[in-house]
Amino acid sequence: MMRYSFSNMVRIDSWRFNFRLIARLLGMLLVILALSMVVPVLVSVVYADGSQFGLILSGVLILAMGLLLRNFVGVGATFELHDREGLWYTLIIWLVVPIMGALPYLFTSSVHSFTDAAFESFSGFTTTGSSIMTGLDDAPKGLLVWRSTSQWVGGLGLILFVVAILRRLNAGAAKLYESEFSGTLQRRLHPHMSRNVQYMWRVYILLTLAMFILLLLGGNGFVDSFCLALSTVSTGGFMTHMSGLAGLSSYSIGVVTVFMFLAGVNLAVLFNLFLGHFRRVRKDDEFRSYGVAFLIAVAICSLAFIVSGVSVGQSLKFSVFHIASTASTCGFYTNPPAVWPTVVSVVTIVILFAGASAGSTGGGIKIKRLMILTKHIHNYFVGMIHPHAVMCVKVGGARVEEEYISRVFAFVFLYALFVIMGSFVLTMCGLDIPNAFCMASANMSNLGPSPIINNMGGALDYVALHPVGKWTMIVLMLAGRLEIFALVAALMRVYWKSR
Amino acid sequence: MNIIIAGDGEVGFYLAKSLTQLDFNITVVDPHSELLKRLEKETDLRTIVGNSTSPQVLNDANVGDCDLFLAVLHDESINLVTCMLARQLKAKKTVARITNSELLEPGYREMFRSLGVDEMVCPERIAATEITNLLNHNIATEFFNFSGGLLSMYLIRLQESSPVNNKSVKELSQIYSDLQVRIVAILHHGETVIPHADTVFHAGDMAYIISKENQMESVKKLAGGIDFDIHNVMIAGGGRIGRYAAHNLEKKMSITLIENDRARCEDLVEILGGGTLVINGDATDIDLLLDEGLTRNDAFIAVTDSSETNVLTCLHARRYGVKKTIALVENTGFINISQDIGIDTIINKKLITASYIARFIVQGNAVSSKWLSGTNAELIEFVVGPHAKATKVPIKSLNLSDYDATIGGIIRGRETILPTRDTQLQEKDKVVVFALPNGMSKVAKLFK
Repeated sequence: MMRYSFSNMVRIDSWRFNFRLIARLLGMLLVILALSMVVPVLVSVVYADGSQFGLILSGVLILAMGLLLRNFVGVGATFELHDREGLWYTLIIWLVVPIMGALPYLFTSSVHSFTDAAFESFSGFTTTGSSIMTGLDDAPKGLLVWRSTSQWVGGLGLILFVVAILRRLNAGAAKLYESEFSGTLQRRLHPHMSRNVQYMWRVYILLTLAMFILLLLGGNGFVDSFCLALSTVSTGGFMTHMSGLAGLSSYSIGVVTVFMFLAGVNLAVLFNLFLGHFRRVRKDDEFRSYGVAFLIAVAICSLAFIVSGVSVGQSLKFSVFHIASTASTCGFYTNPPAVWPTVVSVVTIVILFAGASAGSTGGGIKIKRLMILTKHIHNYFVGMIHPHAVMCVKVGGARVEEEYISRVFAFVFLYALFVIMGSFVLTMCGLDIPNAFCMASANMSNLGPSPIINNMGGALDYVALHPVGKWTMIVLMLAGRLEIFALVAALMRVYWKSR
Repeated sequence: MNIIIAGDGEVGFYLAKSLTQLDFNITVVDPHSELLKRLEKETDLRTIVGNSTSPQVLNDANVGDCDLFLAVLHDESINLVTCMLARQLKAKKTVARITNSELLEPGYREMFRSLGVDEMVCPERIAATEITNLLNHNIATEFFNFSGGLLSMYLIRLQESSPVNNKSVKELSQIYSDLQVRIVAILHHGETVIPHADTVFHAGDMAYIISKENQMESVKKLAGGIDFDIHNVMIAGGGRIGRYAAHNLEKKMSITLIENDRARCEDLVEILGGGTLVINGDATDIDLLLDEGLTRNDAFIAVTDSSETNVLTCLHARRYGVKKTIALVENTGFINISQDIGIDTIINKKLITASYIARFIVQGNAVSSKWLSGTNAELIEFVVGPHAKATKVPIKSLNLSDYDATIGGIIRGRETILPTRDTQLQEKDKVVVFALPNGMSKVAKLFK
């Protein structure tokens, strides 16, 4: 049923929603989702933790719906993609999949309302890691594995599954990819987009496996190691204990820290690293900036702790962990030192907004965008003194087009707007302004639970949040994960009109 | 020696004229019949009108008997194709002029050899390197490195304060016996003199000085020169030379590059790093130059396509107090006069190309060569062959002065020697010889 046509160039005026294609893509993803529930189900059966029936039931439901969409509704889909459709499909997929993924929380009665289930599920798929679950230590193991699995599946992006599998999408693959990964701006590793995505998946899987094995070797339990590996490499941040990672040995904390740092690096850089192309890695200036920013932040934080009377060892250990967790937007927490200097809060907020590298699983504004912004602003001021000067913004040795720069400005503006609006709603829900701001920015950056302005209780508290606040946070998580544009496009009237 | 030159204008003609004077058999292949007719009238050589990428034309030029094939057209792809054809038609050695210095990267060398292109010369790249060297050794008017810098040649005007003024070579060798530098030639009132024992130096002479590694201080002392550091450089013209020069210099100095063409400016900012400020404007617009801080610069390099613009803007820069000026002058006739009116150094692509190609022409084992502007002398670095005549007797018995030549320095392994009359050359020594053109081929035989 494949048709090769240029109709998307010809038929601009008669745009119609391609229901069959979206049904097909969605169906495929739901089948994959159902398959990804195999491990959680097995774990719950082995541990007989009482969650097996809920998990199996939701798995079967998801599978049934997926097959229905894929094999009946989506039959005969034409693989043509218009520019706006990429954004649409991305948004629909990102709404439907997390809602289906919320079923296990409801069916195992681990949460008390649909809102809570949706919050937990969206927090998972967007790799945020904010959690409303209490009593994690006693929660069913299968469900814990499902939480982390949802992060792992969402980490690289749901669309990436589709792109990796569907060679037939051809040029449409790039459109879909762009709508989810809008900030990457890099040379393809392989001419075929689907092959590119497969490379990314390989790196991702390799990282996860390596971390899982290292954690097992460190004497951690199977479920703990597995969940932690999934949540770290995806920069998710779901933990399996209420105390966070406080119970881990120094070795395990070290492993987590290293992989958190790596998770914030562009997957293409990691790919080159694995292949031994060290020159390309060294030439990647985003990677350098990420590293330098990391070191500076660690230095400031440890100094602040040391000055406040914390021992040198503990200051360094905590700072490295905390900054890696924040920069990669994993959002893990551990036992913080007894004092929390204001400087640490400031550094944390800065790093939180900056976020990880473009092309990584992390969130935030992204180092690359900040580099483009600073260089552009620098050029602007040089241009005031030298009106005839010709300048350009270069990142990674390549010129950044003006059009892209204005997109970055729009992005940063919208980013700030989302954070401000989010804080506003949270303040209405009864939080004080500093906490509202922190919570909004933590969810926008897909950071999640880790402490920002104080060390009280280790984590931000979502349990007591008003449902309106929870849904607002869900919007922020999605906006942060989809890098805003797909979400905002849905609100724009031009995207609704038939032409 | 049979040499075929495939050209399309000045570079080819300049090479042809210079080489004819050296008594080689030259054939020029060029598409412009009018120009060739004039060349044939002026010079003793054979001309063939036609396209050098045509095998028929190449056969007409007797490519099979040619020892050296030079393709020096403006278009590098034509040069490369011409060389490949010439090689297939049994030319012994081929040299192509190129514009894209990327081809010179060591990794590609063997590839081009196997394709039939033995050597490549990129005049723009060499010009940029010369500019870089001159700014790094800013007391010199000309500068050249041998064997990766083990020996260096400086051309410096002897100042009033120079200690060598009014002294003869004999006197000097008694006073400065331990000096690590040597004057191999002087330009006295426009005449090249290879100093004998009784030659006396005068203030205002241009001195060719050979020095060992890192002997800038001694050279300065000898010439009585005043040194200054170069931090800010203005380059007028963003062609290849300007681009390569900016690229070489921008890490150490702050560069302002003026280029008239907007599109070229856009390309430049993409290629160059942050050390260069690219200004879109006309280099002859003095107000613009002043706005961009002409007076703050320590050096001004004019490398636009127009020789006249280059000379005039350099004079302007000089007037506004810029200490070092370098101009690209394509018209060989202008070179001497430009230097007389106060431009420090003239860069000439034709001379550079000829300079580079000279090493392939000299019989013997020349490894590098430099034709000097302002004089017709050349500097060539030879490797002394086994059983060469020069290895059998000390230098004084070689009677080099009969050939208007002198040995400036010797490189033996990692060691450098400034020779005396009694020095004995050995096999595999590298010798830097300064000679006038009529003597060079005879001198070359001594080392073969």
